[in-house]
Amino acid sequence: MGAPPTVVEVNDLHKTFRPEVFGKPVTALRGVSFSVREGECFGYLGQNGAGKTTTLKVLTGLMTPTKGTASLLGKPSGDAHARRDLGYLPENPYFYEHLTPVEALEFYGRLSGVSPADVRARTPRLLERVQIQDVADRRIRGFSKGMRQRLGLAAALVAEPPLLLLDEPLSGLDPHGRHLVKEIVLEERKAGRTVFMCSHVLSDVEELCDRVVVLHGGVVVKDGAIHDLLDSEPKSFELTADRVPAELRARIQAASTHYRESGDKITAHVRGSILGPEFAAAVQGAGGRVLSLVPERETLETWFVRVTGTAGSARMGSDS
Amino acid sequence: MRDRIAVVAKATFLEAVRDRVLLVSAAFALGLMLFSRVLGWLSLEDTLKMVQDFSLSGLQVLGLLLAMLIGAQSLAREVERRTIYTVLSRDCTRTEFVIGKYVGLVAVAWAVLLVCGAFQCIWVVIWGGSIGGAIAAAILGVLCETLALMSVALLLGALANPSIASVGTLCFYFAGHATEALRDLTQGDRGQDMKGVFQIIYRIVPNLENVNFINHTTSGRPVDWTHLGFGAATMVVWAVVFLAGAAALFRRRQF
Amino acid sequence: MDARLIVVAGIAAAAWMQGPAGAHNEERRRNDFRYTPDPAVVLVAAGAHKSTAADLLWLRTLPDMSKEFADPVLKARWIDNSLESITDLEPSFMTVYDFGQAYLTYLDRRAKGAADRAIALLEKGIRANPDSSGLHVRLAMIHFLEKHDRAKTIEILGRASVMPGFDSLSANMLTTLMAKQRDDAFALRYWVDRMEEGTPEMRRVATLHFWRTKNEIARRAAREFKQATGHAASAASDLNDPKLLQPEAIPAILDGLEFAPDGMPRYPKLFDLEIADFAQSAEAWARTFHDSEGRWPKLDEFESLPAAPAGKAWRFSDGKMTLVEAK
Repeated sequence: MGAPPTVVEVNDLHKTFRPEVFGKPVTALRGVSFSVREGECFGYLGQNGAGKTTTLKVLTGLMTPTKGTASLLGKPSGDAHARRDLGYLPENPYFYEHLTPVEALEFYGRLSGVSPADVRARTPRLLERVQIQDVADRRIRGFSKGMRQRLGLAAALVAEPPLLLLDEPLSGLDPHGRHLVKEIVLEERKAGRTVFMCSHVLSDVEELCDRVVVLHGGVVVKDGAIHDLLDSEPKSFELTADRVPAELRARIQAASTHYRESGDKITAHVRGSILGPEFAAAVQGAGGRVLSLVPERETLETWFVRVTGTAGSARMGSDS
Repeated sequence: MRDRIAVVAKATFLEAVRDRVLLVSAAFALGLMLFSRVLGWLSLEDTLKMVQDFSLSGLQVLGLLLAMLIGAQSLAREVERRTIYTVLSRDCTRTEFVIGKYVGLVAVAWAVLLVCGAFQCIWVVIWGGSIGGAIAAAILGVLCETLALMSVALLLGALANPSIASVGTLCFYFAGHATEALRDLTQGDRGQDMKGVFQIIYRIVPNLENVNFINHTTSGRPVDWTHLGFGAATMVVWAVVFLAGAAALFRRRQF
Repeated sequence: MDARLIVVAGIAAAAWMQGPAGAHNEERRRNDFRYTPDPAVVLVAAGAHKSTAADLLWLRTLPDMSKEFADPVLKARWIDNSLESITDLEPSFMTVYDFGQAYLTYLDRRAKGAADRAIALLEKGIRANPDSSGLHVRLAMIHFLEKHDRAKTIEILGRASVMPGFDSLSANMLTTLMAKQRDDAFALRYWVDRMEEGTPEMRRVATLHFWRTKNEIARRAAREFKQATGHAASAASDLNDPKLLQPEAIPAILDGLEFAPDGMPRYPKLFDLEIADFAQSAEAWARTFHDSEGRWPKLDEFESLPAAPAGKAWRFSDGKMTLVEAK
């Protein structure tokens, strides 16, 4: 069985913004290349100004690259028909303010080539799925940011596209909304759709995505599966136990970075991948009881800071 | 393609028809219509003429206002409010989008103009006038003029920000109605040194007077329907030219 | 501070200040200066709204026509410029020609060249509206009353006589002038032609004028007969003379002609037509009276009731005016 086909292909993408009259040109992308395979949930990460939005605009045909190519499902991204199979949720989506969600979904569905009957059939289901069915006939004008975000997701899904391009899909949502959107993303993934997601909330990316590309200063600095990028060995352990003899307590306290006692119970953070399990075994051997032993691995957040910090220095170095 | 144009046109129509600006513009035209009766009293003998002239002038200004407030701002607002992102990221070319916007805007302008025109016809009948070919020609002329005005507004909207596009549309309106008078001016003994310039301007600037039949309503002159038909065809040609320009400019825009 | 208080106080202050400001404006306008741009500029600037611009300028000019200006030269210049601009903007604005010529020939008749200015205005109107009988008639009247040019009057009325809307009073004037010029046949033929066309009412009026014209011509011939012979004519055959009447008009003139005891010619048919015409006008007026007052007028309420013939009396009943035997 071969690898799944490529859905998004970005190759040596450059984009330079030329000032209208005066000023220096600004380069947003400097040879970005990556690809997304069918069925993947792909995270596209980068700090503000890294070039994420520019890449998305090129992919959605809103911008033409200065150099390089971008294709969606094998067709150049500038070709309107390539976008027929794309569901795009921009960051802070804006709609025609005087339309209702039902009219908006009809509009977007029809623009993507869905028949009027199919749009009519899908609309109630979609509105229910994003849980804005109660405001289906109210004008969008009065909607909160979260309601707009949900409607934007429904608009991206209305054509049931094989590829979803989601720019900050969880921004502006309350905890319930965030949970709902995550559920939908996971469901879409399960249904075999490819999800391309930009987000600043790295824990969300870690939770949802298989693979990430990190962009910094218009250059791809990392590209890989999340489990490959993050260290698999635990960095530290949090041990919670009770009935621990005093001598053992003193040893654990001496080796911990954080140590807390509460009555008979102790909680200790110990560095490294060895000490934690060793202390747990010692507690059990001394007649104590291990309540929990939680390994602490590197998060995407700490990894991102580490990677972009290094890349940033490298970039600055190369610039100078 | 036709489907997508129709979809954009419908959304544009719904969006514009629910905009408060539309109501304010129509209220202006209807207000001028009602005010015409006051002027009729002052005129002693020409109540009906004043009622017709001011009502139809109001209708024409309404067409201009719609082009300035809705047409010229349309594309720029799409970009400013980022609604364009969700539209152009679909299976819709920019040319289809511009044509769809144009069709929707013209439809909404015509709907408003026809409703106001109907009110004006009733108003004219109330004050002793009759509805004949002349008033129908005047209203049709305003509708034809809107074709050209709206396309220019879209072209300027694709080129510049909303304020500049609105002012540009206003300038086009004045120029379009003045070129004939300027050319005629040089047919006497005046302005001979500018004769060539005015002739060129007359040729290259759309002559909106070709569809201006307001004077016919009160002059009693018979309406030359061939002239109106020719004028309407000219407006369509100009609209196509401006629309093609707007689409070409819009295709080059980076969002 | 309460914003509402500021609004109310502001309105009060502005209203108070507008009094003195208005008085100052009055002072500024005392010299009656009115500015009108060059008519050519007005034409370009009015753009699409030429007709409406003409209305506005007319509304601005109209009250000034009856207003005394400190400087009559300024007034004449302002009115002339306005009339020029308005008629440039809307060449078919008939009221402007009407009021304009009336203003120039009546209200401003003492001004230098008023009649010529009125003629120029009407000629401009006729150039733009060559089928307007009304403008022709007004122009003819100025030539007749102000210039005393009978030939020009006849020429203009002659042109107007074939235009739609040429009124019977003007036609009567034309035929009377023609008769005075001894063109009897033209005068009669004009009415004979009108008697054969138009609505029944138009034919009735033409018939009445035909007989009135005959009467006019017969009276002229009778006067000339008396001057020539020293005695009054007593029979129709007395007027059967090409020196008195145009030969081709003689049969028509002599048809139905009688002479009163005082030697004046009369047509009994004309008398009947006049009575019927009066009765028709009186009944129309009575209907208007009835509509506004809710009752029919009494006989003594009719204005200018002509004397009934001997042995007859007017009777008005149920909207009908008739002549009955006197009691």
